[in-house]
Amino acid sequence: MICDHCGEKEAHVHMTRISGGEKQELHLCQKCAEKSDQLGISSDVFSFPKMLSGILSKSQSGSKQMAKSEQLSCANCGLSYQEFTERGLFGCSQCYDSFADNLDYIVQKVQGSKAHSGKVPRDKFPDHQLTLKIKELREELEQMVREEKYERAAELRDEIKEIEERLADSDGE
Amino acid sequence: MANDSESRIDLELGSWLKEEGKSSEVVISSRIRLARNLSSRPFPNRAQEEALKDIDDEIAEVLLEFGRTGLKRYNLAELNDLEKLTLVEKHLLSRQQSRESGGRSVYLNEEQTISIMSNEEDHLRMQFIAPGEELDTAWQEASSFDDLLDERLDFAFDRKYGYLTACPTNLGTGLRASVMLHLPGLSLAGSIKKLLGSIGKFGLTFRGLYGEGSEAEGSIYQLSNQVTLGRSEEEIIESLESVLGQIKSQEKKTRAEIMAEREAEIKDRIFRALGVLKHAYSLASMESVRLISLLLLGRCYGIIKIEREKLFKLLIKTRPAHLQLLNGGSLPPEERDLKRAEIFRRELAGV
Repeated sequence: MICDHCGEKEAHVHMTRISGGEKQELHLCQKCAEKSDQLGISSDVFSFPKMLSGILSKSQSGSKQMAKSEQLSCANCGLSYQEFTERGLFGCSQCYDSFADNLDYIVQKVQGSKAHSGKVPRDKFPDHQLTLKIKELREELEQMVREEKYERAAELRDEIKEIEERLADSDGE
Repeated sequence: MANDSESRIDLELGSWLKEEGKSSEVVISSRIRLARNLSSRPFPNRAQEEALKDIDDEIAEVLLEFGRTGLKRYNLAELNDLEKLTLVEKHLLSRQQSRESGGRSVYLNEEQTISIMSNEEDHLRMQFIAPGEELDTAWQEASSFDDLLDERLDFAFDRKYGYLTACPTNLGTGLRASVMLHLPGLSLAGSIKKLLGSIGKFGLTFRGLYGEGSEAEGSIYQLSNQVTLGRSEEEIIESLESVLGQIKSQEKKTRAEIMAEREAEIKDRIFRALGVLKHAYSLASMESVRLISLLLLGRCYGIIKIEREKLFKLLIKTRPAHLQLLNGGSLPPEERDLKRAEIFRRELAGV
């Protein structure tokens, strides 16, 4: 078997990577294997840009929007969409706006989801913690109603109301 | 204090490798990594040298101000290749970052439980490491540190996509939670491939830490989350922990099973490993990893009396860059193997 990377030498290192139920195999000669990251089963062939190009080329066939986007570049850092798909890296935070049209598709493919649901910088979105708290309390409230613990449910309802009022106040400021 | 060039890097083990934590017979350590970027600066891959320096200095000013964490800055331009590779072997610097120099730094605390890289793939890559199974603790620490920085730095954040990162694979939480695992039981039973196949379905990655093949040398693996968006940090950690719980119980069960079914063979392997390490005249790097792994297992079975810390110390200190730095300069691989064998003979003489 010939090395997948240099295409010259005999492959002695065989790697299998299973991701999302898909199996990929890679056969490398000693030299190319040493050059690939020493820390395990990663190598150029599986690098993110290569996989991203794969995702994009599949989607591009027949898509007008994708064809249009190839001309796009980021007004802030000058990165072209083409470069992004080749390297798999954005050039600045503005790129997320510049390439917004295609982003949902890419992000969905890469992450299996389109929207963040974790931590938020406190100073920028001071309300966020309260919104989360309300969500949590509502879930507990439903639980209590299901369990017919109406006393606790009433407490929770009041607590939610109070937080909602605080949120409404801060919106008005 | 004026240090000579040999002692710029602390060659001692980090406390996260030295100390025993929860489930540390299987879970060596837990690690939380957060990726953050400054909103108004180009990402490192697109920043010119001057811009990189500015970003590095802006970050330095804020990080060094937090005196209580005792962070020390190492400018990558001032470290030589051996020093950088030593930090890679200590799992405190990424391999990618070790190839870089100007406009980039790594910040470490004295215990080596915090490692912060500036201008890696993102402006900030912050890692918090704890011994044993402690993802929650590490996350709490990481998150409160992140809060502190957030007061001083303007992080790139989008309401919909979360924390913006150079690569979409880190988008959202910017969180990579990982555990370093020692799985000699599952390796000896030939069950690693099966495990590898089932883990992908949970949005997790599993890879060997040493060596290049799919069967990792020394049975040391890293389990981490693949997906960073759409789930909260707590949810990501919880799902990692639940898979970890399965792996842990499988590993423990398998260790007991192989000892019951293949006692003579397993004991023979462990004592042969000890014999080779105690007496070999030349030891290759990966060979020694494989053998130490068996001693760690022997220790867990209670058939070899040796401190865990000593084994990890030997593991790390006999990696190529450590050996050369201890030697005071570069050594060809054959000579390293002699040096490595010499250290093992000396350190294991009383075992």
